[in-house]
Amino acid sequence: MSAGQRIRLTLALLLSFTLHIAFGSSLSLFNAQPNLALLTLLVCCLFCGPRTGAFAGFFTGLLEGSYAAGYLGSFLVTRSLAGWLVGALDERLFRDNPLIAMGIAFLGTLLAECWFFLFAPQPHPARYFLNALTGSLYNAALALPLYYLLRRFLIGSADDARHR
Amino acid sequence: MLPRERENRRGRYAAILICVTLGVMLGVWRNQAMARGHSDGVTAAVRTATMPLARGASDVGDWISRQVGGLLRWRALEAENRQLREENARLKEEIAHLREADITAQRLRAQLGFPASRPPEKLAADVVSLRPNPNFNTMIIARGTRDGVKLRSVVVAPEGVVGYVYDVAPTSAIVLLLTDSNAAIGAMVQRPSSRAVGICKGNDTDLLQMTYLEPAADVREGDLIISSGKGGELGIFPKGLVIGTVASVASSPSGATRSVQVRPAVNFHRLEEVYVLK
Repeated sequence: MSAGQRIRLTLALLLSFTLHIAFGSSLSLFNAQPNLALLTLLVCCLFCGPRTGAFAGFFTGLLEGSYAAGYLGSFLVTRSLAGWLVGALDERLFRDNPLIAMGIAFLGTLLAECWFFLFAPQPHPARYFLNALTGSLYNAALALPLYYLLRRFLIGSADDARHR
Repeated sequence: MLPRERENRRGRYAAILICVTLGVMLGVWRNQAMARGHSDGVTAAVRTATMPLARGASDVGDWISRQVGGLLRWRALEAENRQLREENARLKEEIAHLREADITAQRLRAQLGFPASRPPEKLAADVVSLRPNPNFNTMIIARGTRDGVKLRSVVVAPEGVVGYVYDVAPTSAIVLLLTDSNAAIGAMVQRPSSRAVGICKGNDTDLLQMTYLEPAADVREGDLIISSGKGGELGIFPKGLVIGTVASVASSPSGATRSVQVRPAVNFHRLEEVYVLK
């Protein structure tokens, strides 16, 4: 990734987190709430390698953990792992298929939330996993438009054509 | 394996190792800082740097929702306005009665030698984010140490208690809502014939659980529950703040234990402004 792309990646993560903080709970549908910060991280990591993915995950975890009551370490570790894992899939997946982005958003969110539970067990596991499952489905639904948006923003139209 | 390939592979594992190690270290550091009763520098700095962005987005969102809501609900708003005007007139009358009772109570307290009670000073705060994570009942307010907010400051709304400040940065604070499973408040029944005392605990639902009640405690459905001002750490809440009303009282078959559920007076899904007690 070039320096310009890294800056754009940071901006995308920051913007999505801001939107998540301001509107996250307003976007609730049948008790399902999307995690826009985590979703942006997962989709962005489709376009960068594992190294950048891990650092992008760390950055997202730092933002999320700073606004949560505790569990900073769990946010940092789980988001870093999620970013790194999706980044590592970069070479193994056909990332031009938007359905792959939806699958990554669903599985990535679910996996990150399960890791989070391992590091920081919650008092109501059933409710926690239901929230994780509905949140993952919501993230998967939002992944499609975000994929096209981020692809254009991170890679650019000229590079995108070359990439194809 | 080619040397370049090997180098790439090493770089990929080094990145995740660095992130995980740093993550664990920062997490431990933050936990230790919180245990000592103060905020850590890293998260406070991140919140201070990002708060203007979050506040700006939240203000724009509130403005849009007010405009759209006003347009869509103008008929309902008209009816609500009429109802509020009637309620306002009734409450004004009630305030006049209560003011008279307060003057009498203050005079009697002075005659009996009790110290005069003064209501705590309130600091208005905008809610920037409500439950940013569905698994934690927290909210972010746009007031911090610069405005005099401290750790464990009590946060209220006009309807009743909201929670207390869990973490504070110069321009923002994280408030733990009463509905969170880590929150609890010393509570009592406000009825002349029953002053039963217990503890109201959150359990991550819309209802609170009132526990530690005496077996013979007189608690009925519809009773108003207020803060008791008692109970060690739970005593950060001053006495007399409205918590909610008793929604249900259920006894175990043996009668040994009772489950009392309290519906909070505050609607935790629709909070825009709150007050921090100084």
